[in-house]
Amino acid sequence: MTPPAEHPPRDRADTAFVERLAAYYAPPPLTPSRRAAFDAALQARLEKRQRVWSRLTPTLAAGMAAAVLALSLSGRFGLDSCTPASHTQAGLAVVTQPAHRDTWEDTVLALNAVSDEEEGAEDDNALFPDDYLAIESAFLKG
Amino acid sequence: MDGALETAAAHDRLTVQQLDLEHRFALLVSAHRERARRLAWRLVGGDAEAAEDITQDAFVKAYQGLSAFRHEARLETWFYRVLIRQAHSYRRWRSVRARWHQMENPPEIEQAAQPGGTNSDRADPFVKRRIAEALARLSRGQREAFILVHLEGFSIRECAELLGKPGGTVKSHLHRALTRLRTDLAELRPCQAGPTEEHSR
Repeated sequence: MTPPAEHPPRDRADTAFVERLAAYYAPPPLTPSRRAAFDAALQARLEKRQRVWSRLTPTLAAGMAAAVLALSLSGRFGLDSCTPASHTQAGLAVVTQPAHRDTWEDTVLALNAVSDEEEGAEDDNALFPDDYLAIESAFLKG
Repeated sequence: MDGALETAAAHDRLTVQQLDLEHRFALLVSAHRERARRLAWRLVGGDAEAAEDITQDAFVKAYQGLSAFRHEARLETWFYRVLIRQAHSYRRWRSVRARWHQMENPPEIEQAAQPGGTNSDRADPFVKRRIAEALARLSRGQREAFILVHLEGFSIRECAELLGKPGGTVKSHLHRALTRLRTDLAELRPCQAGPTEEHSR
């Protein structure tokens, strides 16, 4: 393995060549007015960035809060609510044990109770369409 | 009452820290404005507008990272690294754009010369363009090493740190870059008849 090439010792011609390149290949120096313009543009850029951040910070905070709330609500009302639930509250996963462990049977019974209440159960005829009731009165009861 | 005093003291500390940051940033800008702009100009091939944009962007990034750097030397190294990376991104973007348009897009060389300025101001735009083209033909590593060490005066160790390369690699880049430029820009070598004088005649 060969060692890396050493920095070539520049002879006088090389030194003059490089100096010439450095002199020719350079932008004109900043005049005082251009320096002032540069500084003003830089200041404006810094202020603009700070303004953007100061506007974005409350928006981002509100967005984060909404996301956390949405996550916690989806944990509360989602499928997990029938089982020992793991809710996310304020970004932290908190495992909560329900006071009463529901079984599938309990859940079905509860749903039946709700549907009974909704239906009222006092008028079964209300469940049938009108044409069915007309046919029933004409042919079945008649 | 103690709470109020503590709050006021904390506020004062914050203000002092902020003033300290502002002061340090002002020093950084005044010390490196000219050099950073010139380096960016050379790295992007003579586009003055892009050079100013890149320099200001690097200063903004430096301002954001200022509190993380306790030592100015580290901050300066980081600042120039950002500048070099930005310049490289700009060159790449420009070359993609040039390819997209399917036409040659030579770097825009600043024509405006300040009256009674330095040698560089009097330099023929043709020569500037020739140098920019010769540098553009070098590899990225060779071009950046040559500009940093030979044109900007960074040491090989500083250049290695800025480019994130071993010192031996930087030396190798410098050697190859100089060899190639000697050939490509032979007319600019002192022993040759200078085209600048020839051209201006």
